[in-house]
Amino acid sequence: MASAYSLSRLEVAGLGRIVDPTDASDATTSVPGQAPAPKPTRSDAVSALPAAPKLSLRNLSKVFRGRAGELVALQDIGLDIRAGEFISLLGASGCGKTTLLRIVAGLERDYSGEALLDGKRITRPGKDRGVVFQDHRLLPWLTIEENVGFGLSHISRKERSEIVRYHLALVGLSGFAKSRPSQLSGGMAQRAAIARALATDPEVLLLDEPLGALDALTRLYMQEELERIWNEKRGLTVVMVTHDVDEAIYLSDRVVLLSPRPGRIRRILDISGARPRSRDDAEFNGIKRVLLGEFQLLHEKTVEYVI
Amino acid sequence: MNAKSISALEGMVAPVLLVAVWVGWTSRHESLLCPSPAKSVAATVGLWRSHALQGYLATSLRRYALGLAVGTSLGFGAGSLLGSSRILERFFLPNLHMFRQVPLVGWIPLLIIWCGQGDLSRVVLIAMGSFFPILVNTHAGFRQVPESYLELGEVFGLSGWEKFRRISLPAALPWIRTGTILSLTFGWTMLVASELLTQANGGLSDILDVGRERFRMELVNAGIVILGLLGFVFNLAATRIWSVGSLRWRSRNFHQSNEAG
Repeated sequence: MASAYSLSRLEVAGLGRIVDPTDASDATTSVPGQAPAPKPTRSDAVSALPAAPKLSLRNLSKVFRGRAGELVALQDIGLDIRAGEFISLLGASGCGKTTLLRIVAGLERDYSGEALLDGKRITRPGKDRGVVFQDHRLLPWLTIEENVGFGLSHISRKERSEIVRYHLALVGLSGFAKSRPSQLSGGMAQRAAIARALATDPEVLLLDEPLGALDALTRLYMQEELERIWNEKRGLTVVMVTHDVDEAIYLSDRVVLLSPRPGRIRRILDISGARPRSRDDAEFNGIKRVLLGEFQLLHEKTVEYVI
Repeated sequence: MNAKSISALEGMVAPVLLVAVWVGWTSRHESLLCPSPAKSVAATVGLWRSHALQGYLATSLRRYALGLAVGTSLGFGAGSLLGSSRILERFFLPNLHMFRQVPLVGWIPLLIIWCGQGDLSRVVLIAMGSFFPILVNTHAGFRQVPESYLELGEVFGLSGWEKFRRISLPAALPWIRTGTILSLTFGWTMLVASELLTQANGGLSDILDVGRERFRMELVNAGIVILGLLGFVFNLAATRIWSVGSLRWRSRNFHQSNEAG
């Protein structure tokens, strides 16, 4: 399917910008009038960048060692993320996208290379990063407002209840403060989890397939909600793991496409269209075709390996 | 009338029938071996009037309370430690299980030699009886705390103690509840076993002993019913107290919301 790949690339040429971190010549082509994105570099060159990135991953690798041998989950990841950016990590299962997110969250400490937040090495979780998991992980013995205020135990009750009230309103759950997680639908529970992650006022929000467990219609609605929340929390940097191509295009400033075994960045795609994006216009579909084309190539590659 | 009270009524059918058969049988064939329930009731009233029953109750309940307090707090503490630490679990859990295989009454001779024939032996035996159920259940409760909840605690930067207090403990509470209720029952059994060792010890088992010695079966029957009723009342009270205390936890919904993902 090599022809389909080059065809879709042509179609997208005027709409978005394609950055291939493995191909230096490709990365230099940029659309006029658009600030050049910080290019992921192998060597440390923080000072050479136009602005210090919020999140910076350099030569990042992660190997899981088990009895069966070694599994390279991530290999040589280089990625800079600007403050306020919405980034999607897109890939099939097993491409290490969740591992990447967990490293940024500080939950995986044993990695090689660098993962820097505001220039500082990430070694553990912190209140500067909020995390939303695929399962909402609301604690069943707490009410929704207690769950949302879970990370705010160190401030006064009055302050806490104000912050909780604001965030419940932000995610549209004002009427459910006293409810239990078991009384909420999947989408509502996930909104409560987002409120909980935002309540501690993080600078970076990490979303690990937050809508993966929801039905298709709720998913579409929640994508719009996510964009609205991101708009209201100006300056919030979002890194979202997803395997949904539409979701990635609809929400992201850039889509980072990962290939599996070992997990590597295959392509970084700028999406410049105005928001809110229409899901059926030419640009949307053009980018979608490129991404799906890449997936198909990956698939063919795997098949070749098997044979 | 709601479904709950109907099922409670249904549960009453068998005991009522039993008493009816007992009354019917003894009205025709009353013997020394099988006196009528009315005689047992009269004997109980007599014990109460002479203040003997109150004395027995006070003595037994004091032993029970002491033994339970020691046994359940040690059991809870040990269960929490074993449930929270893999190392402690590996070192001590197999030994504890081995220890548990000795039927509790098998310890009695040893206890008598070490602790004498007084209340100390009884309290220790009750403590041993109530120790294991809460230990095993508390341990299981802490073991099943989902890893994902603990990870959530990490994301919010909770310390080890905060994770224990705010995540593990409430998540384990439904299991701890079961453990305490079982401990109550086992402790009660051990109270009677320990009292039957020595006659005229001042506890409730004196009713049984006196009845047996003087061949007053109505006293023996009364003693058995009193022990059974008290055990039932303790169990009911514990269940009620827990269900009020754990309203927040809704243990019934616990697994459902856990799996809902």
